[in-house]
This record gives sequence, C-alpha cells and structure tokens, in this order.
Amino acid sequence: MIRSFDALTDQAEGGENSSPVVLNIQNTNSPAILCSEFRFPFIDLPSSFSTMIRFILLQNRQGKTRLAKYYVPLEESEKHKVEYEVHRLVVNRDPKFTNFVEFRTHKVIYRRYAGLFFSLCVDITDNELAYLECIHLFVEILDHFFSNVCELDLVFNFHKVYLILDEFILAGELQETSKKAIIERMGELEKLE
Amino acid sequence: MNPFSSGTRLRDMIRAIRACKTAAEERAVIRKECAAIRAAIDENDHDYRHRNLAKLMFIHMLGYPTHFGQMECLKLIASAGFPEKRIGYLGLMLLLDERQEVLMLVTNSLKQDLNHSNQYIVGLALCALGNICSAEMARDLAPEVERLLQFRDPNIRKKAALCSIRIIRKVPDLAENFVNPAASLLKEKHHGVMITGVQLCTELCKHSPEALEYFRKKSTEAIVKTLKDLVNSPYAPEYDIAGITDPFLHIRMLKFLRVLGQGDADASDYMNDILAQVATKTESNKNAGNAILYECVETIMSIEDSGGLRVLAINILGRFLSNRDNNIRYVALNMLMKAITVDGQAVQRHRTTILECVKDSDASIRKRALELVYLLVNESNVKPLTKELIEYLEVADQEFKGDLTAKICSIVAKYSPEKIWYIDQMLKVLSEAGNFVKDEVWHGLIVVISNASDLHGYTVRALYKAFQISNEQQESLVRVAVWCIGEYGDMLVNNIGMLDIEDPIVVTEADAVDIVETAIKRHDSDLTTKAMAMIALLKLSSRFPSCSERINNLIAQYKGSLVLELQQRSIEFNSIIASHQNMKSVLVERMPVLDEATFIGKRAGNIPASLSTSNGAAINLPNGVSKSAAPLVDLLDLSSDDVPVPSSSGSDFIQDLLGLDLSAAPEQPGNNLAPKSGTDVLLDLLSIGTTPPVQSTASATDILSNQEKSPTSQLDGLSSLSPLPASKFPAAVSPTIDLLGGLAPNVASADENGSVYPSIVAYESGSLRITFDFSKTAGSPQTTLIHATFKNLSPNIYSNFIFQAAVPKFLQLHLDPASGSTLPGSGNGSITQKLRVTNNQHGKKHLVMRLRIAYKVDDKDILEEGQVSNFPRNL
Repeated sequence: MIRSFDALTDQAEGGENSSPVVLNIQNTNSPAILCSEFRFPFIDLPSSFSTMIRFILLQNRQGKTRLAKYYVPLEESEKHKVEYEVHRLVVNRDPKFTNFVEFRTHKVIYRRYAGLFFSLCVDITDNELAYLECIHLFVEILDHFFSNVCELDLVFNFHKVYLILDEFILAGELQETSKKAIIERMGELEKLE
Repeated sequence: MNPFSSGTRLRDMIRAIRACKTAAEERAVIRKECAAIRAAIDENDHDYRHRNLAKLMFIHMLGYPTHFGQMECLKLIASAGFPEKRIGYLGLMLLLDERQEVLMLVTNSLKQDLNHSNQYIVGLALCALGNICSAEMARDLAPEVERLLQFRDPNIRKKAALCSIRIIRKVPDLAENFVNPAASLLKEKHHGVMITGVQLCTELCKHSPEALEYFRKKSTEAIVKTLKDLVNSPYAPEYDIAGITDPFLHIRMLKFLRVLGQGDADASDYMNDILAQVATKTESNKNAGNAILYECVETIMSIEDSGGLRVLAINILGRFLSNRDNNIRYVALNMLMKAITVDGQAVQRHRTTILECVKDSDASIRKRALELVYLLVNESNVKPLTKELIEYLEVADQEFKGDLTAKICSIVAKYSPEKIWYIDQMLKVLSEAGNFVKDEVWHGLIVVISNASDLHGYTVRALYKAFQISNEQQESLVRVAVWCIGEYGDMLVNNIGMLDIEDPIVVTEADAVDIVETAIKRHDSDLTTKAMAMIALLKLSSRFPSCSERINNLIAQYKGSLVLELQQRSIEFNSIIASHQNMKSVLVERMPVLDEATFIGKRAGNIPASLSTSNGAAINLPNGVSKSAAPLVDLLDLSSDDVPVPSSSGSDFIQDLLGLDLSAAPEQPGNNLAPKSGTDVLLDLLSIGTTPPVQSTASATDILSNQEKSPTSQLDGLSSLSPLPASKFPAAVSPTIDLLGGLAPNVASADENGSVYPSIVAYESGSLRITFDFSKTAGSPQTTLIHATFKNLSPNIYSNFIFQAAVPKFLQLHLDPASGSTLPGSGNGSITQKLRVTNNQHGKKHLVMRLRIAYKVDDKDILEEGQVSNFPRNL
C-alpha cells in the first residue's frame, strides 16, 4: 500500500509541469488516498468536482460497449477495466434493487432499457435521483431521434449518438434540458452534412 | 460527400464485424480494415479520410488499438468543411485525451474554429475543448471562450459556459476573468443558458472566495426570484417532466443556493422562504419531484441554521424512508447520515425503520443503513440495537456478515455498559460469525476476559456451552474457548464463581479435555487454533492430574506432525510433562492479568503500521524482533510474524547504527517510504546475531559487497528489496570534504595529467590502520582502483580478518579477494586487498565509503566500523 502510494505521488509530482491540477488533487485529498485504492486518477478528484459526471457507458447485456464517454482522462487499459467492472456490477442486479451501485470510491447510477444498460459514474455525494432522471431524458431523446430506438440503431449510428450526447452533456455537466431543443439542434446539424 | 448516408462502407464494415461468429473472425476482419485504413493514411487519401476515421472510431470502441489514426483527426479538424471537422473533433475526443502530446498541435486549429464565422463550427470546437481541454490549452484559449460567453446564439453561450467550467478546473487562477460574464448569464431566460450559467457560477464560487462573495451580494436575490418563478411557472411542455417544469434547473439552482448560503446567515435567511416553498409544494409521487426534494433537503441541511426548515427536511427524509421505492429509501439513508450531525435526536426517531433497512435484500441499501445505524448508537440505545443486529447476523448473507460483524464488534467494544454484557455479546457474535471476527477483536476479548476475574468461571462455562452447540466451525470461537478452558479449566469443572443467572452444569475433567481434543483434531482447524489447543492441553495436564496420561498421549501424537510448529510444541511439551514435573506447575500457571491499557495503546499504534505491512511490499520476515515486541499477540497468535515493529523505532535504530542524519532524507523526495523497508531488513539482519560478521547484509542491501563466505541463502529472498537510501551518505560527508576543500584544484589538475592521487589513511584505530592508494585506468574516469593496505598495530595476531565496505547507491563497488586472512601483530606485515569503485555521478558526487572490519583476537570476535570521507575529490 505504502509503496504504491509512493509511486503514485511520484507520478503526480513528475506530471507537475504538464498538469498542475493532478497535483492539487493529490494534495487536497491525501487522507482519502491513504484508504482508497487510487488505481485510477478519476477516483481522487477533489470534492469541488462533485457535480461532474465522470463517464457515461452504454452497454448491452453481453457487456459490449455501445457508447463510452469519459470526462476524465483514463488510460485505454483502464477504460476497458472500468467497462468490464461496471458491466459486472449492473448486469446481475435484481430489478427491484436500487439503481445505484458503489463503484470504487464513486457511484454508478444505472438504468436498464430492454437489453441496454445506461450507466453514469458520479461522485458519491451527488444527487442520484437527478442523474436517474438524466438517463431517462437521454433515452427519450434517443427514442425520439431514431423514432423507436433499438440497439442496432445505436450500433450503426454510433457517431450520431455521440453527437446527441455532446448536445446534452458537455464537460461532464448538463448542457440542455429540453428534448425539443436538442432534437431541433440535431436537425440543423444533419442539414449541414 | 457524406460518409454515412451515401457511402455505405462504414455500414458494410459494421455488418461484416457483426456477422463474425468467433472472436478470431472478428479480429481478421478488423485487421484487414485497419490495413486498408493505414494504406489510405499513407497515401494521404483526402476523399475517404473522414469515413476511415469513423471506422476507426468503431474499431476503437470494440477495444482495438487505433493510435495510428490520431494524426488523421488533426488533419480533418484542419480541413474546411463542417462534416470533416465534425468527424475530426469526434475522433479527437474519442481517440485522444488531454494527456497526449499530439493534443498540443490542435490548439491552433481550435483557436481558429472558435473564431470561425460559422457558429456550428464554433460549437464543435467548444464541445471538443470542453471535453479534452488541458491546462495549457485552457490558458491559451480562455480569452476566446470568455468572449463566446456573450455570443448572440444561446447554443454557443451555453457551450462556452461549460467550457469555462472545464477551464477553471484546469487553471483555477483564471476564475476571476469569468466572474462578470458568468453573472450576466444568470439573467438569461433561455433554460440551457441558465442552467449552464448557474453551474459555472457554482464552480467559480468553489474556486475563488472573491467570486463567492461577489455572487452572494449580487445574485442571491436574483436566483431566489428565478427559482420562485420556476416553481410557480405554468405548464411548459418543452421542459416538463412529470408535471414539474425543468427539475434539472431546480436542482442546479438549489445547489447554487447551497453554496451561497453555507456560512452566511444573511444569504441563508434570504432563501428560507423559497426553500420552504420547494419543500412543501413539490410533488413527491414521481422520481423527478423526489430528486428536487432531495436536493432541497441537502441545501437546508447545509445552510445556516433555521430550526423550522430542518424539521421540515427531516420529515421529508422520514417520508422517503417509508417509501416503497428502494431508490428513495437509499437516498434517505444517505441524507440522514448527514442530518445526524445536525439533529441527532430527529434521526433517532427513525431508528426502527433504519434498522429494517439493514435487513434489506439490496446490498446498496444494507450498506448505507448499517453505516447509519453505526452512527446512531449511543450508550442509551446500544443494548436494543445490538440485540437486533446480532439477531440479524444469524440470517444475513454470507457476503454481508463480514461488514456486519465488524460493525457489531466495534459498537459493542465502544459502548458496552458492563463487562458481562460485552462478553455475552461477543460470545454471540463468535458463535454466529466467528469466522468473520478479526484477530484484534478476539485478542481484545481475551484481554477483557482476563481482566474480569469475577467472570472467569462464568465465561469459561458459557464458552463451553457455546462450543458444544455450535454446529459449524467458527474459528475464533474455538480459539477463545480453547484459551479460556486452558486457563480456567478448573473453574469450568468445579462450577467456581457461579453467578445467580447461571444454571449449574456438570462438566467432568474428561469433558473439558474432550473439547480441546475436538479442537485440535478437527480437520478444518487452522494452525493457530491447533497450537493454542496444544498449549491448553499442557495447562490442563497440570490442572487435571487425572487426565494427565491421556493428555500426554494426545500431545505425543503430534511428535510426527509435518507442521514444524506443532511438532516442536509437541516435543517440547512432551518433555516438560515427562521430565520436568517439578517445574511444570509453575510453568503452566494461569497467565497474569493482561494489561488492557497496553493492548488498547498497541492497537491504536498498530493500525497504521499494520496497514503498511499487510498491504505493502509484503515484508514478511521471520522476524525475531517483532515477537519480543508483542508478547500478548505472540502468545495468542502464531502468525504473528507480521506483527509490525513500530517503524519509528526501527528507523531510529538504523539511524544510530549508521550515524546517518535523517534530515537529509528530503534529498530524495518520493523515496522516503521505500527506504523504510530496507531499514527493516537491515534492522532484522543485525538482530540475528552479532557473533559472525554480518556479511550477508550485502545481499539485502547492496551496500556491503563481500559475499563469498556469507550465509546468504536464508536472505536471498530479500535481495530484491530496495536498498538503503544511499543518497543520504553524502550529507554526512560534507563537513570533512569541506576541510579538504583546498585540495580540490590540485586533484583536478592531477586528473588531467593522468592520475596521480595522494594516498590516504582511510581508517585508523588504536590497533588497526588502513591506507588507500588510488589509480585510474585510462579511458574510464569513472572507475577508481583502490589498493587497500591493512596494518595491525597491536602486538596480537589477528585471525579471520575480514574487510567489508559499503558505498551509496550512486557508486558501484567490487572487491577482489584479500591477500590473506591473518594479520601479524606490531605492524610486521600487512594484508592487501583491491577494490574497484565506479562512480555513476562522476564529477557531481564524491566517493564515500563505510568500512567494517571483523577479526579474531585470542578467540574473541572484534568488530570495528568506520567511515571514509577523506577521499580525494573528483574520483
């Protein structure tokens, strides 16, 4: 534990020039670091980041990722690990259970639509119910846009799904809450193609 | 041309991939596609560039490497058309992140696009910036983003607002530039702009106290008014969710109010009305409404006190708690945890409901509820709460038992009103979930039992009964039972110290031995348990003379045990019984009362240290030192080799030993902890015995390098451990070097001339003198050959003469064999030895060396140590 902690601070100090924020993170949160696993940079973001969505995943029951948007920098290998772990966490949960699972030092808010799982990773203290509503709004937008969306729509039009998401959430924060506004905006963008 | 609607190639590829039946097939398709894309990249193909990148994104999503496409993103971003740029930016966000160097190249394109006349392209650039902006980019592009906050199109304004959030997270110093434009966003009517504006302001407040002060003064009123309008707004189909207009905006505003109200009575006072209105008027039959209520409760809890509001808030949580929806109950538990610090009494009222939640089938709820219950416990309610929890322990899921047991033990230890209650509860826990009880917990129990002399009889009888009725093996129950029977077996048999509440039981001496026999013979007992049972048997053999013969046979059975520990105990105990009858009774006397204070202190002290050993580099040394440090744990626990040596004393010791100045440690930042393990090793090595020269140290620490005759085998495993913080050595050296500073110029010139260095007396004691002569080989200035000469100044002959040397990490040392091992007395002869030192930091650091000389005089071992710091400079 101590050693790996050490290694981590080393990295943080090494990266001081390139990204001072990382260093801040280490400083402000050091007690938390001692008791967490800190394998991943995003789990030790300071509390002022708390409103931020860390990542959004859209996975099917088999664990195939249909959309993955990370608002915190992660290594490719870490991303795969995260996707695998999140899928494992949500796939077998009883539908009667809460839609919230603790994931490392964060929390995953997920919702299942047919065979698709929409998962958001947020801070442990954030408003879970609001994010649940957020997922639902996103699904409604997709449903509206693809008129009765199914998994295949998302597979073949993955780039459009990303585009919609970028109109809905930016920098891990909510950008627009009106379904109509987003659909209209998408219409305008489509025309430019 | 559009890659997606007209060209079908992307679709084709996705179809082909989807048609694959096996992973190998899929890999083959992808390999082919990637090859084609690479070829296209090499040819600098413009027409299909965006289609290729789209394909790469899909391939990336499947988890294949696509780094070769990164530059294509940049090229697409630099091209003129919107479709190309769109795919380029998408690729940028997917395939790259802020840490990649390539990203620097895109800053310029981003700058141009942020100033583009086409607002859709500006939108693309803002989106990309918001998602992957690095600190450098933030500094470079902040002025553009700031300007765009006033752009005419609301779509751009809201994107710019979120971009600003990202920028100030990356570079908080930039916050002040954004305060004014952010404030103007709050006056907007457009929901998208408003929500992003509120978020930006919240973020600014977190980063800058000035901004917080500013918004408190200027915006509290406005936000309260906007929220009021929103709450009372008529139906708005565009923003309606479950009958509420834009719950998301509600929530963001409540969050902002929380930031404004926290620690400011005036602002808090100002928002009281609206919070009360939200708390009472919001519909709570749909998730959206509950989300708002939840946020509102959190705001009420965080702002400055207003008694009435808090009652309202706790009532809302009470309603949540009885909701049938698990999600709602979960958030209620979550929030009650915060509420408990504000109004503990109010939360106590919901105790029964919370306790029910501990038994929920959903692990998320259980965990929250258990943590909450833990906070709720106090002296007055500990008995009923513990009773409930222990009852639940019987039916809890296996995976939950660990958490639950730990919490119960902690509650019981913390709040127990009397010893007998504590013992009772612990026995229940041990019988139910003995396998989940941590070592220190049952160690603690034994300490308490040992201190409660009036309860010894009661405890041992209770344990006896518990053991008899337990149907599955609960390891720690067995251990405690066996220990108590060993200590207080006579009280068990004779019903000594009966309490009024007890029913007398009849236990014969043979019954008591039966129990211990079961424990030792059970196939699933682990080594610790068996060894403890062995001790108990030994003790019983003295307490119950009638069973002595039987016990002796039992113990003898383990003489052939393959487990060394058992075999050893068996043989030792057997010989005690057989041939030391006279001292046996003294030997197996009851253990003196264990000192509670020491145990508690040790536990407290051990926590950080055991963290380091159990999770760290796993330095599980067969550590003699540690055992003596912890007699209690040692007696109870065989596996105590991971009982940590208090690391502070360890390093003190080594500090003394090596005469190091630890204040030099910061020289190597980040390394401060690693040396500690090395320290332990060394400490341990030195404690093994002082008689033979500790040559083996070399293998562990790399600082002593004469390995030839050393008994290294036992230490081989340690050699991978990190060496001593060698860089500390120079610190100790500096004063001496300063004294010799005058020599430096001469030495330097000598170096140029082809190396003539003055000889030095490296070490001199009353009886021994060591001189060093230096030479360099041409062509390798880093390497110095040292010719060491040892002279014995005393009249006696030194035999078994061994010379060792240690150097810091930046040096490498090689010792040739010495010319002999016997040194005649009175300076009548000498031993010589050649050393070769390579200085990896030649020119920057100077040589330094530690010496250790071991020899025998008149059959006595002598050990001398010294440090050589008067080496000529520039070696």
